[in-house]
Amino acid sequence: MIRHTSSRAGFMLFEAMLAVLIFALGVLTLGKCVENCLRAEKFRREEGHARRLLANRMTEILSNAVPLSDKASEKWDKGPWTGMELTTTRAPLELTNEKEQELFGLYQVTLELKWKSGGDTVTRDLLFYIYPRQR
Amino acid sequence: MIRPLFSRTKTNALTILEVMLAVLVLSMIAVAVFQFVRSNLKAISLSSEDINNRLALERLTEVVQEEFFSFPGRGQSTLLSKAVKVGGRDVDSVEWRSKGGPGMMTTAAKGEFVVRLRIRPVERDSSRYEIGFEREQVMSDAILASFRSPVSPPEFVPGDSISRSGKPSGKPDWIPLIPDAYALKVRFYDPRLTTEVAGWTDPGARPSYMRLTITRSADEEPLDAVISIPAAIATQQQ
Repeated sequence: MIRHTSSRAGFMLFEAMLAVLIFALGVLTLGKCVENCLRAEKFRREEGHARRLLANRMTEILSNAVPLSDKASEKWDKGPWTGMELTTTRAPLELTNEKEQELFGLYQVTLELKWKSGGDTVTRDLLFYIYPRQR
Repeated sequence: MIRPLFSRTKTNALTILEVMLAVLVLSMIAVAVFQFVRSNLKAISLSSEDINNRLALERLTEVVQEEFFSFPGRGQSTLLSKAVKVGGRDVDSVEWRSKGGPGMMTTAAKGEFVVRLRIRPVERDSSRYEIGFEREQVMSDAILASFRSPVSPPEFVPGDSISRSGKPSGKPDWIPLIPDAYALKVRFYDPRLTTEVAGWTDPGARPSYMRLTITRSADEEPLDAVISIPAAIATQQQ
């Protein structure tokens, strides 16, 4: 990098700048890598919370502990589920038996969980069928 | 005008300034790499700790859920729970009877046991707590056999299991499941009250589900899991 001849002395600063540029690019790339790793880790953590939340809510619904309406939303503002929004949708299943008779009382429940992660909106769904207790 | 930073006319050797500059640059790179590696190691450590916490809860949930699947739909329930607060932290416990299976962590149990899921100090007077199963034999095989026809076994009475079962087997053993826990909260959904309640003392009824809330440290968010009790749901559907 160090030039000793006077005729090429002007080239040295350019070389130094180039070296600094390459080094800076390397550092920036490294930083980006770390940022991506942290983002992936944060997402993995959120994903775990989301799975647990969906599983918990499914158990509550199957235990008849949560009254169901056709559509309901819930948002959390504290705890591990901060910023997550759960939309519960219930729709009757249009099924028939072998005699082509309509089957009543069966519903499809969809749990849709949305949250913001790194500027993007992430959605996770859980779909299951229920046969609510006839009161 | 662009000029060389260092110019030498007589010698090709490096000056002390150049060497110092090179060492400085190398040191900066070394420090940067060290910081990078250290922060990565810390991130990995936190990540694996978080994974372990979550897995511990998931595994515990699965074991308890498996046990709950075997609860009979009729007759007296053996599920009992106490809600206790000590110094602001929940130290609840829940117990059931088992003759071997997931809730006992073995299928080779002899006789009948009471299994308690609870939190307790790692050692006497220790400030570190852990969550685990406490297994206590309440009836041996011989006593169980003597209860088989024509006399029915005695009714399960909370807190009175040892005295009614004849000779206890001795000191209960302990299976640690979650080390370094801070609090254990257990809540039950009572379908008659349509709300969650602390503690369960009615052997004549079954809660619809059990909510386990585990806090690993005072400054950490608690994790909770809802565990269904299929026998209760089946009874409700009838």
